[in-house]
Amino acid sequence: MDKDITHLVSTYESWRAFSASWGLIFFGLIFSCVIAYVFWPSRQKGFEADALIPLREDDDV
Amino acid sequence: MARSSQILKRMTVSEISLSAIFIALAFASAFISIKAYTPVFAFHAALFSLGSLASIFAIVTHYRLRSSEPVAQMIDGRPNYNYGPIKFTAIAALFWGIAGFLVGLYLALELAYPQFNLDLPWTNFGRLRPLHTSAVIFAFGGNVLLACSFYIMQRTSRARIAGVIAPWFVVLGYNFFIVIAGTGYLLGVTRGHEYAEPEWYAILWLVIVWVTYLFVYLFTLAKRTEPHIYVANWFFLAFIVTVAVLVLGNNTEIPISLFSSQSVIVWAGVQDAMIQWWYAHNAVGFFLTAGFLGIMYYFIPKRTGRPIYSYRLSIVHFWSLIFLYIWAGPHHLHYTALPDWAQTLGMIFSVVLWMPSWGGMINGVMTLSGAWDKLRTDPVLRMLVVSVAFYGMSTFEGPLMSVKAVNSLSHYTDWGIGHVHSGSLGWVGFVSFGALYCLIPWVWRRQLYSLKLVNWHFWISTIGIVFYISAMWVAGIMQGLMWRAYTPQGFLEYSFVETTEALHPEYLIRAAGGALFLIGALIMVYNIYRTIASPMMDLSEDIVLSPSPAE
Repeated sequence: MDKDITHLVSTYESWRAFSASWGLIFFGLIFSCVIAYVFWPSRQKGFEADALIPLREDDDV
Repeated sequence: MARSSQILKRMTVSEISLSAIFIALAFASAFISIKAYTPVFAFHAALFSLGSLASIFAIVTHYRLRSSEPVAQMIDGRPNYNYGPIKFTAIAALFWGIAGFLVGLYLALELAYPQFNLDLPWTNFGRLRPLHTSAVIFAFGGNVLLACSFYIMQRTSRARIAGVIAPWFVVLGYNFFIVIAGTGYLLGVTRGHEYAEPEWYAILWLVIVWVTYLFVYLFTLAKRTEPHIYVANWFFLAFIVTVAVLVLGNNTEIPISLFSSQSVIVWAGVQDAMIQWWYAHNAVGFFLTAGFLGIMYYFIPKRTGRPIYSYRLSIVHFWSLIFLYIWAGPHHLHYTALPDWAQTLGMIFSVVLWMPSWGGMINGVMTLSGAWDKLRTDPVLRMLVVSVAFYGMSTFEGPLMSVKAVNSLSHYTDWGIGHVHSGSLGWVGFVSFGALYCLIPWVWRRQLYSLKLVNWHFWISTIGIVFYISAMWVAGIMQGLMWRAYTPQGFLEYSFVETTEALHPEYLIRAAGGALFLIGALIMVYNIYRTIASPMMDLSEDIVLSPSPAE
């Protein structure tokens, strides 16, 4: 195999391995934060109020 | 009042600068039109030139007619909502919808009876097919999304849309893009990338329009008087931002000349294929799903008169959709030159995607809990809810088809066409019709002319969809099995033409289904016409959101 191509293949392989491991963990962590935010017990009341936004229009057609 | 009338009427900075830009564009495109290599490109450049002149005329006319004061943001303590661009896009959606369904029906007949291509370049399948897909997805769907997003963002922000010219630039500019793209397909201008056929100059224009759309959205949200940004807006923002990224990513190409419609893509081969399907699958995910989910999260609660079943679930739905969809594209390239790991990744993420999709479906449908009787009495709500059921059905079918073993049977067959149409006719079509049946009477302040006709529309179109998708299931599986059938001697059992002969009955059923869907849409157009032509409702009278029972 040409030397240049070997270099490219190893770059590709290392990027691929990095994204498939650390990248996945990184996204998993962000997503866990989202879940924690959504299900935090003290936020329940706020979310219930937010759900009413479309129904609270005073000038309703 | 006496003081304000003395304010000298002056052109605003945006009126002056936009007029200057359009004058420059009119001259530049007239020059390109003269120097163009092909008549088609000359025609398109001339359209740009005429469009620019029309824009200058519109800006000046608007300036002459408007008052010297800026538009009131509030009237009697209520936001002074701007419904003009919404009305325009609602009508444009109906127009493009009928055009797109009609071309689809013609194509279905062309497949059943190839003589219909008339041996003319403009009417052959290859040119009409992108016209159909773009007309229904980008023209019909896009105008529905513009209308609903402009309505929902103003109403849930309790603020008038940002800008005076900008919202009009977005809706007119977007429809101008559709005209350029559509006439281009018929005249043979194409990039040859599915759902991404428009050439470089149309894409450049679209990007300008789309970025303006994003700014209009963000500036309106910035003006909001409602502290929380309602979840429907999150879906619309994800739709706008992602579509911008997708279009830029999949159109990384260099025009061969300023005077030619053709361009060359920067990457080729499997990289191009991967980026193309990353684009196309996320066009489904963010244009046809996220945007229309924004519509669902507003209109189903509004029409039912009940809040969404679980606001928390809607946020989980949002983020999991965002996190997962973007990886599912490689399932379009199973058993190709794409690396195996990428194919498997696409398959896994597609299967996992099933969960948020069904979470969203459950959220939409369960909003009716305690109000199920409205399904029987309100055909508009029924249309919205059935659309969510179709969403659930096609988002179950999609992950199934992305599994490699299933895909080896289903890929390249009519099963794919059936899957796409259960999503597009059932989910996108019905949620759009349902939203327009709500939106149009509300913005025009009219009573919907006939719920009975909505009922007819619903049933005729539903039967049409069932014809369509069941015919395509049978056709697709038969086709897949015939392609892989071997004789005991190891030869292929069927020639290709034998498979197309075998598909003829299913193709006729499909065309019948499409015709029914078109008839339903024509009933809708009549109903909407009668609605708008009816006298305006008295503003003081109470209007019932969920109307009395249909027959």
